[in-house]
Amino acid sequence: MPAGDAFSGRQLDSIERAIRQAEEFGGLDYSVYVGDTDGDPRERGRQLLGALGQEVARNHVVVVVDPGHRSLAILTGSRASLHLDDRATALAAMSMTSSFGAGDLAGGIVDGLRTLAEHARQPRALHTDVEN
Amino acid sequence: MSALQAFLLFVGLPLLVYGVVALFVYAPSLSRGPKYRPGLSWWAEPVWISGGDSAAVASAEPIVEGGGCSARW
Repeated sequence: MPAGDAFSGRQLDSIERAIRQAEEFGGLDYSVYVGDTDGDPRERGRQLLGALGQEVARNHVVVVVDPGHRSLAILTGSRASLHLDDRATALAAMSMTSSFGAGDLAGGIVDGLRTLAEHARQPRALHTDVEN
Repeated sequence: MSALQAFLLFVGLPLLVYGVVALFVYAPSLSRGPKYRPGLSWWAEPVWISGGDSAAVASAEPIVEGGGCSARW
């Protein structure tokens, strides 16, 4: 990979479009970080959420991709994790890594965002079930 | 046939054909942009799409509440 931009203009457009659609569809906020994380994408994701601020991070989902270390993390904020459980994020991660392994970085990110949006659902209200 | 004509015919024409073929070979990948190759190192600048202020990341206090997952490929 030569030095320069990670994505072409068209690839960036498709990722931004997927983010917009996911936000409209599931009601959560998304962002995608692609770059070196010193091999710890989870820690970088937590820092990215921190940079957004407590209030914004609560409803935010950040996808961290480290192509150099071939590792990926999907972090959900405290409120976003009620809509998107860890199983749903693992499913999205699986669809992403299968594309990444084939060399399709932008396509994998778009697929993953689509999977996340499809699984973002209203959280189950606890202690409000009425027994019949 | 003059020397110039011979030069154009035997050197210029093959070079022109070579250039046209090379253009056809490289044009698709040039228009598609950079391609990620798994296993090779990654030198592109970090990019945070639809994110916040990249300058604030280094000094930000990590948020550990919430969920998520990690994966490798």
